[in-house]
Amino acid sequence: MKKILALVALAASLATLSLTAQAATSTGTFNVLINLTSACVYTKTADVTFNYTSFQAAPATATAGGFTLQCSNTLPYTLALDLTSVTDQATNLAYTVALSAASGTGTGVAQTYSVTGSMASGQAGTCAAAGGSCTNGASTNKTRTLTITY
Amino acid sequence: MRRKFLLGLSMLMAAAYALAGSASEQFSVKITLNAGSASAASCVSSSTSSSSNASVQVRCSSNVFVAIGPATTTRTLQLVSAFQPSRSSASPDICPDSLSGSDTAEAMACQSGDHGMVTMLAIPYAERRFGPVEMLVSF
Repeated sequence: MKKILALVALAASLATLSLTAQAATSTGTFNVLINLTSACVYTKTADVTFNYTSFQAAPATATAGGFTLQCSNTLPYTLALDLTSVTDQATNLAYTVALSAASGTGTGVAQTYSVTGSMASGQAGTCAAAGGSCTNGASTNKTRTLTITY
Repeated sequence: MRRKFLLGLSMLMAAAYALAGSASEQFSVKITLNAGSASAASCVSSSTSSSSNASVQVRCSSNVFVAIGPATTTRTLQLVSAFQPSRSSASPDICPDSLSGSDTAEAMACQSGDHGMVTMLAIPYAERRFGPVEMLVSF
């Protein structure tokens, strides 16, 4: 009986050794491929606003318009306005607008830009409301277009 | 070999072009025009002189009372209310075309669509006077 038990124990230990000898590891690699489409996000913060009195002696400076641009990191871009010298259709006042920068490079965070405006002195303007004030709310050319190229 | 190189180059350029982008965004230019009120009127005066006549013209942003007269009363001046219209086909004014034949010092005012309220006073035969003629403009 003791001999049988010894044989069984021997067989069990041999089997364990055999299993240990059969375990193995291997490594493999694969790539993570990313296609990043760069982009810019425009957010307007303020329009350009003029307050003008007919025939005023000094040029008028607009309350600057503003916007932010959030572009992909290191992405170069340019900024351009459709027109920089405009005569407003409703008030017949001529003005110029300009960007604070014509180009930039994305950082991944929002970057702030402004649009300044200037209106020459001595303009009469057109306003049917005698003694009152007029706005260009109905003007057909009050909208300026900003083109961002990247 | 050369053909493959050109093909590769054109494909690279096409890929770069496809990656480039642009966006058009809009903002408004808001204008508030103060045409002037009784308390905030603005006027601009100017004077002209020709070989025989001189005139004083006052242009105001709104309908305010404008007085033009001799600064001193020691001299006798012949003054004629006058207006030299500057017509616009788009906005015809309501001022007369010719001089008004008044000998008083009362200036004539009229509304010109393009130029606000214009008041003008002419001094005929200015060449017969000796020395400067000083006029006072009040509004």
